[in-house]
Amino acid sequence: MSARTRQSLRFPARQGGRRRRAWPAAAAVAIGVMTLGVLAPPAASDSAAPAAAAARQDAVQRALNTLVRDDGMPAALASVQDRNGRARTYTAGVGDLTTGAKVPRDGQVRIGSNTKTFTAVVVLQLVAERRVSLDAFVDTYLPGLVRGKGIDGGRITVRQLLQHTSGLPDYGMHLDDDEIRNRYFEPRELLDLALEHPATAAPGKKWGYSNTNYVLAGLIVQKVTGRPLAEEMDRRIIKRIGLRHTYFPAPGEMTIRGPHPRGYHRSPADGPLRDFTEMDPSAGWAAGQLISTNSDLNRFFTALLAGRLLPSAQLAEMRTTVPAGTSGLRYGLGLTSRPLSCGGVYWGHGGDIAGYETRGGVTEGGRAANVAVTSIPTDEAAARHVNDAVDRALCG
Amino acid sequence: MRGQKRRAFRSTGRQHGTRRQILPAAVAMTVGLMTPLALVPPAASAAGPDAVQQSLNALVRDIGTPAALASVEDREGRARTYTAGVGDLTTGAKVPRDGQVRIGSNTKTFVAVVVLQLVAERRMSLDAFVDTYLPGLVRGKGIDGRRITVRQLLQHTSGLPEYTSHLGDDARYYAPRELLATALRHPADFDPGKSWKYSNTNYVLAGLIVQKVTARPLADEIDRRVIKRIGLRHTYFPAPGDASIREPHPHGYYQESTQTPLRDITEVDPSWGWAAGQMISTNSDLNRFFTALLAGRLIPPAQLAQMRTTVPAEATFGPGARYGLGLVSRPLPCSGLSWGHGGSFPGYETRGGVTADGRAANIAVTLQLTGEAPRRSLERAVDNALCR
Repeated sequence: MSARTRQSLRFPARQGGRRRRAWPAAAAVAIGVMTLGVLAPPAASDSAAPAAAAARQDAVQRALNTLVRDDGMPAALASVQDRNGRARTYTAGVGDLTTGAKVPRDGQVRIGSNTKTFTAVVVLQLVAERRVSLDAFVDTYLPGLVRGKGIDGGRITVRQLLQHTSGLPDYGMHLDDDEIRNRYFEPRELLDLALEHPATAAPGKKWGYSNTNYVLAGLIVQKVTGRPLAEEMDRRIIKRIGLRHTYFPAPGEMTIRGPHPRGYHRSPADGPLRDFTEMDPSAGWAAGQLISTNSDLNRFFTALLAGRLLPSAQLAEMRTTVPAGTSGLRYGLGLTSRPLSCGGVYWGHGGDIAGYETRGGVTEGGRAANVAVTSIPTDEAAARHVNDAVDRALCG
Repeated sequence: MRGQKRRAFRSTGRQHGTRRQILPAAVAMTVGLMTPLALVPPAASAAGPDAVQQSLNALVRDIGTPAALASVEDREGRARTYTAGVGDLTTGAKVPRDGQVRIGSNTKTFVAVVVLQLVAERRMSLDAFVDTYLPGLVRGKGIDGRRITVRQLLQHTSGLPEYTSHLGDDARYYAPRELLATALRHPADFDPGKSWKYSNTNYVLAGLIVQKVTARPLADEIDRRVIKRIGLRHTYFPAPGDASIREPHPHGYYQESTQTPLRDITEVDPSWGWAAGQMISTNSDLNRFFTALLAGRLIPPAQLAQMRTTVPAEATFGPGARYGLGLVSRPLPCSGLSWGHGGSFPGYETRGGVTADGRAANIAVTLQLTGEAPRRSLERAVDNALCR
């Protein structure tokens, strides 16, 4: 459920997954059969498109093809929006390794940690409404709830939650994929899991990605609004900007409602790909439960950065970043900035949840791109290629 | 959510509301205008107003409820439904026949059935301690989950303090664990097993145990193991945040005190009830449910016997009433017992039961009853339906 290779909810799988993956024979055959389909030009391509756009389109399609052919992704999907709001969608690979069905154009995927940006937006709307303060302590809203070894909700601020500088341990590191898959978790259970472990740092001292921060942010939203988090997200974001293919699955809902490519996962990391499409996403909750499409994510990040979801003061807070590891990634409040090969940065988040990885965002110039693959890459090269595809789409 | 003073949502209102309710003039007029409708014989009844219809008419006339609805099933399974009053005081709309209502604490019987199914599957034990399933979760003043058994939860002999009397007045969304946390801020009422006292907290904990043992949401388990299994087509556990009632239903009303007018409280977040009272159903579905349960179609005989093993519960459920595991027995004036539960939720009060020989009756009124007298009237109406 995260923006980076090592930040998955499935931490152990990612750690062990540095080697190049070999496809199991059956999957390789299925992909071989579909290669012709993969290489066909995307339906959205427009013969009247200017040459530059056509070249970019080819670059994006080539990047997706690489993810399928070389990196073993069952499918790759992209949606790219130019600064005039014209959108193109792309697909590669197969939507279902068993049947060989094609990839639904702009199909729904589990967007994992992109959910964090939605949660952060709701919190910042409440800040704008003066119902929450970024510098108030967690205990202001959830008195006495957050206590543990080196952990004190009386010393952790809301800003530190959204920024991942709280030092709270990540419950996601203590769950394995099969445990998560069929298990319903109450949000408070996720918090309990985290609080069994000691703090990783004193509040404000260190940046460290932790899903626990967003579970707490979600609990604060519920406490302050008196409504379920899912309802607040739906009303304040999804309905407001018309994200028609985005939703927060209900408790117990294990399916994906709209047309979607199937999601596959290696668990353990050196095991075969397994179909993980149907799963209980409750281990993600405020940190990773949403389902959406590449196009809806483009609309969301575009609206957010254009100031259509937050007043400028709160957007400025969201865009105030701290370094987040190597590779130039920086983290604001539920928002990442990443340098582009063509100069500047793009703003987004990205997400990993068993079955799907998504990366993308918007540039200062208003271009937007989002790429999804239907398996979390288990080697560095593949993970890099997903980011490259986004870079290609935003820089082409 | 069931049956007694001070367990309501709005505790202040309930404290003042134990007196006989009088309809404010405006509402009384509306009801007056609609009286002829109420007296029209029900379509399902061939003859004129029978005893059940007369009972419903009397409830509307005497206890100030805008509507009363009943479903009565004889031992051959033939069902009749009845309505009286108005479904909506603003529009004067008629009462939907067998309309959906919030069934409040009848939800507890559904939860108890799921627990007892898990007991039959040997995934749970009635005599295991709460800590077996929820280690370390239940601690407080005089409260220790290592000393409270599952049976004590279902039987209301745990001594766990009531949470509903400590909730605020806002009809907000509460997550289950918030309800438990609210209870645990207060001391135990007594040592586990030492006394009997109705506490909604017991069923919130039972619900959390079901989720832990099955790894699925309680609502899913109730749906799969009970609702779908016996085909209760008008029964459901509202999703989080769902404040509406899905199918045709009479509006539900609430009266803060005898001095204040009736307030439409149909749309309300029921999450504060959760495993202790969140469900929506109809009189007919409740008859089907309790009939199936007592006929052994939901749990094996050994577990049904446990469920029917009762302790005195007159304090809450009235003269002669006893409490089993999520099941209430009450003596009938025509001899024998009725088995059911009943529920009290803002907007709706339901009572009903089934007899050993297979008769079933359930009655709902569209006003949460706060006084002893109106509750006894409602229970008498059920008795009359079962004893015809």
